[in-house]
Amino acid sequence: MKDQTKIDELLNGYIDDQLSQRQTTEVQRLIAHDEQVAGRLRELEKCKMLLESLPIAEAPACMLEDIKSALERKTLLEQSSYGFDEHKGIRHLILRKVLAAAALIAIVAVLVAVVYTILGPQAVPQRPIAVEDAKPVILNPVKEVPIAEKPQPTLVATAEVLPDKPTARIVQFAGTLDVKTNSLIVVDEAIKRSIENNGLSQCLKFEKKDRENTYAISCTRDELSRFVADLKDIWPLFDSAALLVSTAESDEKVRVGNINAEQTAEIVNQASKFEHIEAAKKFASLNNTLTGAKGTLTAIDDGRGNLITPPKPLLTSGERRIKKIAVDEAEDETLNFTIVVSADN
Amino acid sequence: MEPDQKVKNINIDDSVLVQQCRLGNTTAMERLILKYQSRIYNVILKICANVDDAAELTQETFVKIIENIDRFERRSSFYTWAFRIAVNLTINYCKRNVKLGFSSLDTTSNGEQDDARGALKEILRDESSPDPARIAENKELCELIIKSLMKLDDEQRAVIVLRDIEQMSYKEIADVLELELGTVKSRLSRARKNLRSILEVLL
Repeated sequence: MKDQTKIDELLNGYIDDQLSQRQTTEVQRLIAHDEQVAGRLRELEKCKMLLESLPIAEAPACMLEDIKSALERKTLLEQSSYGFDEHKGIRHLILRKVLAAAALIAIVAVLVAVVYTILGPQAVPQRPIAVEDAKPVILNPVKEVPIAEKPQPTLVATAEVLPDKPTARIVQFAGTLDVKTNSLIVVDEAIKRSIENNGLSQCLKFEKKDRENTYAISCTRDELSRFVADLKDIWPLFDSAALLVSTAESDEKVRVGNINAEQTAEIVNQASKFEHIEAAKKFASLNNTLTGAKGTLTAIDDGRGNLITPPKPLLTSGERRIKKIAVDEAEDETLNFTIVVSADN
Repeated sequence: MEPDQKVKNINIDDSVLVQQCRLGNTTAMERLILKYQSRIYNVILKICANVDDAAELTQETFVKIIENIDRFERRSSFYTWAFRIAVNLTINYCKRNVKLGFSSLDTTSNGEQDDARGALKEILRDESSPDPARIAENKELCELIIKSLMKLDDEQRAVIVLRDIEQMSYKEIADVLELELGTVKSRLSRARKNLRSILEVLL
């Protein structure tokens, strides 16, 4: 087979006149001695001759003009294509696609938001939620059940029971100032004006009996301090004044007799329940001492022939340290202060 | 390749025309087109077997030649370079449009085909050499031969057309198809053997 292929190639080269002299001689010898090879040569020659006999086709007459037109057309297209920046065009196209995608996403987002608003869960109340703190406010107490069976506290119920401010404010101080005066009307007027000036009208419970007025005020420490300071002006109209101090957590009560405006203010201004009581005790002890020495220290000579009443002692500086106000505690505390003004005689 | 040998490869007329064409001389360009248009058209037509496609491919070939004339490196002759472009375009086209070439040949009637077959049988059986002029005059016979040619695969058809129709040497065929010389010989041998078998089958 390989020889046959080789012979075929030689025969093809022979008819195409592509062989060297030596190869041509070899082929001629083969043809002369091998009839089969000679027949094969004739077949190849006829095959070649058939193709060579095919008429030569002439190019269309308009070929040159067509080629020139095609070249001009192509040149024009290329020139027009130089007129614009291809990369810029691509960038512009990409930008348009990105913007279109962004717009589509925005529209979808808006639609989702609208649908969520319509179909989504109810908005949670804005007020703070303290589930644990809901326990003290039990409108309908129910029987204790195991934890696993306990209904979970609902948000709505919890939010509803929470007050804006704590309902049970801590009563830090409770004092009753018992005053006797011959100028009941003047004192009454002055106390009411002072209450009004300090904005305590809302905190006032006023009770009037025959020849006795009761002013019950429930307010903050600052408000009470200002109010007590205002009372200083009418204090000389009091024939006697005694302050009964108590606290909400203790049954201990301290009565400070012959108390003056400054002492009252100091007791009110103490920072804690304990200090209120302690201050009251000290003033009570001090004022009792003075009362016990009555007659010996009621008047002294001022050296110029005038008799003066010695001022009642105040707490010394070391004791004044307890006057410091605990601001943190003062924020939520409530002081109850009652003035009972009764007429002498 | 030696410079002298490079110069020998370029037909003097072609080299001058190519040089002038590179300088923008339209007359030189027209002369190159006129010189080769029919030969290129004829080869393309014998490979693709469709007149309209052959005209279009010829036009495309020359547009490509003019566009790329600056890239012509003169390692081969302009003639083989131009035919390389033409044959590559045509083979690519034929591979994309396999059925087109055959359909264009199905225009002859059964009676005409029988006549052509009879003539072909006579030529192949006859011990004497046939008359090429008589073959060329028989249109149906020519169509039958082209139809047989179209049954070869594209590469074998290109080799046999370049050799038997364009009369290129083996060396030039190797240049055009960018093949080894031995490959050209073996491919041409197989192409003729296959064509002979196809013709026998047609009879």
